[in-house]
Amino acid sequence: MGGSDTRRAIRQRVFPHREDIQKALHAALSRGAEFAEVYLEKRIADTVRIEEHLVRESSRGVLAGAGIRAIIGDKIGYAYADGLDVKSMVEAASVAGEIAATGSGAAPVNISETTMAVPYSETRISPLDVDAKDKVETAFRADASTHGHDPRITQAMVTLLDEDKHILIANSEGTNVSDRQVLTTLRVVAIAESNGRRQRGFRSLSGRSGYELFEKESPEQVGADASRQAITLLDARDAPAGSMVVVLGHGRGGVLLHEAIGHGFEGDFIRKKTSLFAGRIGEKIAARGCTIIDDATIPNARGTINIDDEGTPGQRTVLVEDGVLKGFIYDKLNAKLMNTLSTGNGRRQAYKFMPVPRQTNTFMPAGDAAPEEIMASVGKGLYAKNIGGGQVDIASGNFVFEVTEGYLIESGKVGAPVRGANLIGNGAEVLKKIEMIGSDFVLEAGGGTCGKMGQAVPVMDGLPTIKISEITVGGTES
Amino acid sequence: MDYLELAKDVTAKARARGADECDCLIEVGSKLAVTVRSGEVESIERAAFKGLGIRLFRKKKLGFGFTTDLSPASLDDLVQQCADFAGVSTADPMAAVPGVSPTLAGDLEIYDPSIDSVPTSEKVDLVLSCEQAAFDHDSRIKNTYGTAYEDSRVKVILATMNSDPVAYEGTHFEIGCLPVAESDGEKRIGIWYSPRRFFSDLESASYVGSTASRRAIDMLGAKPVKTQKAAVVFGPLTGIEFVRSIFSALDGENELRGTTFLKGMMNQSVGSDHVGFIDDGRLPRKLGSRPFDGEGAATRNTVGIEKGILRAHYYDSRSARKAGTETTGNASRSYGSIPSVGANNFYLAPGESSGDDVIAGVENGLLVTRLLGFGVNITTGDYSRGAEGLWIRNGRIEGPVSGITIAGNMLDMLRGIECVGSDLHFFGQFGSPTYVIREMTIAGE
Repeated sequence: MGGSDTRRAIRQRVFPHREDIQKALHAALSRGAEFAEVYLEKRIADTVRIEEHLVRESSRGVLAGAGIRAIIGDKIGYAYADGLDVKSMVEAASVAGEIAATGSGAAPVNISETTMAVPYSETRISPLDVDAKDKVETAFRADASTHGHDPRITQAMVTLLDEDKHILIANSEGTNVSDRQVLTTLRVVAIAESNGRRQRGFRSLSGRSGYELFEKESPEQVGADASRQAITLLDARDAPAGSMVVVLGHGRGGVLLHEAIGHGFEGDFIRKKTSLFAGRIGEKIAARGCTIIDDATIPNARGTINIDDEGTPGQRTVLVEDGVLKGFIYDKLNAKLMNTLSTGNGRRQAYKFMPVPRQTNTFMPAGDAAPEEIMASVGKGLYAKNIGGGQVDIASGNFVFEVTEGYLIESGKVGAPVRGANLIGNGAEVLKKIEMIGSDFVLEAGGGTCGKMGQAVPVMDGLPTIKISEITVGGTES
Repeated sequence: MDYLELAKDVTAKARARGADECDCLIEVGSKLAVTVRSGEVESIERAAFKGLGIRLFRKKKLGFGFTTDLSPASLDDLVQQCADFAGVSTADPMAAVPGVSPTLAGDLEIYDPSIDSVPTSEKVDLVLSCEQAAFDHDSRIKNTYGTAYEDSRVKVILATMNSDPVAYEGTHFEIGCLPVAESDGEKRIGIWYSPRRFFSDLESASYVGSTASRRAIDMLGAKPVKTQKAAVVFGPLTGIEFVRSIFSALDGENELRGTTFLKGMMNQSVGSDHVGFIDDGRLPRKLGSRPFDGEGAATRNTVGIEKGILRAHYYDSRSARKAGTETTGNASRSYGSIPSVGANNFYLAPGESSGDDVIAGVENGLLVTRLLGFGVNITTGDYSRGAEGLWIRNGRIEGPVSGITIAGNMLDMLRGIECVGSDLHFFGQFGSPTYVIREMTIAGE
């Protein structure tokens, strides 16, 4: 099919020349803006989706475009153009520049030659080098294993996603940096049915790597784990309702940190004082032993970024250390207005969006309690092994997250599985109620997608097993 | 550029690459977004956007592709890639590109020409006055999470290999405000927004700003209640979220897969007598209205649940073929996706009493003003969400409540709907009046 030729043609870099990018920066500055930035993106993303043993979708998506930002004071002009032709890019730049109506003329800009970002993640098996046939086969392997796990599995829905994204950021401070960001993800939903009861299991595996991702965990293992969850839940009873002791499972339990702490630490909410954590650096906000870190540099983790979408290298930022609030995460604009520096957290979904402060990989390092010891210390409570999505109200600090695989804890032992339920807590209070921190830290394997201001970006969380003395469980059984 | 011609050209390219069936969807449009903060413009965003998706079938095997780069070389590559993917796909006997069907007569009024005639300065003034109204409402409103105006126009063009391209164009205007109420270190966000097809239909800037502020002020001093079972009342803003979940439960594809708690309940009672759910793609000036769906099927009115009885599922062409029935004109699709079942305008049918009367009839319960998080499982019907709101005792608002969850089973919720108001209000393509669910579990202290 001439596949490899096609792939080579697509892989050729299609970003405009340096002189043309410079022209766009001039256009954006021409009305008197203090700062201008050109963000170029070309992303090739393939999807294979299996349902009912059939390929429901096998597809390629190409996102190519330019986003241009002009800033004067705290005012932002933004424009984007689909496609990467020079004319549209320069036109968009002029439109973005209109935010500054003073007409004082352009500051001189000289951007250097493009440099490549220093990678935290290397890609060995590039998605573009994997044949469509092999992608379909990879998805079918997960499908077969999901169904093969147990005869009570009636449906499997498998989605394999990969993307190879090139970005270039040039700005009026002379930055001109490019990066390649690869992401591969496998998601499996399993439906189990028995005696008229139906349950759903979900697993995902994701990382900033190519198809070597499946050397870490096979598609079969991912499918089988989704099935295991669905089968386990067939016996689930109603979840309890009310305030109780909760043990959060290691890995995916880190969603707690993302919601309870992470969002409230984002620089825009801090600058605008809409976060309850604004102005509280140095205060004790969490229990002793509680350290929380946002780290964009973990090799191959889903939230890792070599550079953020403003060209700042990804970094490791300590948010909380031994219970004390240490720092916030910033993009360039909010950092400047707060007289500090960007922490490399200026991210965007795509060129159609302005960058805003976002988390990357957010986690709590290991403590010293053995996980068995934590479980044994609980008389009665809930063990939240797997967590779905969450959300936080920045202002009040109230957050929720969904327990998708939970068990009752009775006399220090893991008991019967319970149906899905949300947990609700307050970010300012719940972290003070962390009583034990396990020694079994892991980053979650699946990773999540975080939504903020209509923009979705890949993130990852991590946690050791922890015990929270009191949190409200939103079940139905009082 | 002539996008109708482009869509036709792309289907011809697909035919040349061996497609037996093919369709091409193009979206092209423009948008403006303005945000303000503390009486000043914070950001202005403009864009002219475009994108194209191709569905290519070879011997019932599908390859799909989309791109925002409409250059000829890029499109050639993409069609080739679609053919490659079709080559490695599996044959789906249910797959086909349906012909474009004639649309029903009548003006849907989905395009407002004033998108061009109203100057940007007037739009900026509108959002500034919205923020001002939020501040003026109460001295405890000192900050906002954002106040925004947005408008956009999108032209949708659909071409298949065997029929002439068809197109429609729609507009969208929206103004919204998120004020923060502050008192003694406590912060509460209020939300209100008004999305419309026509600029002149927008709720006034002062109404949007002051309503959002009232909702924030109402929450000051909120605390959890004791864990208990009580009535739950949704107003239109929070009510649409359950309405959206019911659409998924009626999605024909979920029915076929067995991934809905309403599976196998056709013509059975699934709700109280007060429960009626309708999808209507032809309501004038509504955001979900359009002459044809993502595959060219005419949109229509389909009653999903009537007086509590399940009467219909919603289909696109593939799921309809599989179920042995006809499409309901519910193929949802953007240029970047293959068709799937989606709502046009889907709403809970209004009842007789006013919204206030509905609340006045509640003895003990929660009026939900905001919902947080996920926790809705369509497959099992399990429902558990974070909530805040106002406690109602003997028909009167007693005080604000937060830090709680509401939980139940969605089938029980449908059966427990005991009163529905007349105040049907749409937020985008979903609409809801005020309604009462007799009993849910409220978890708090």
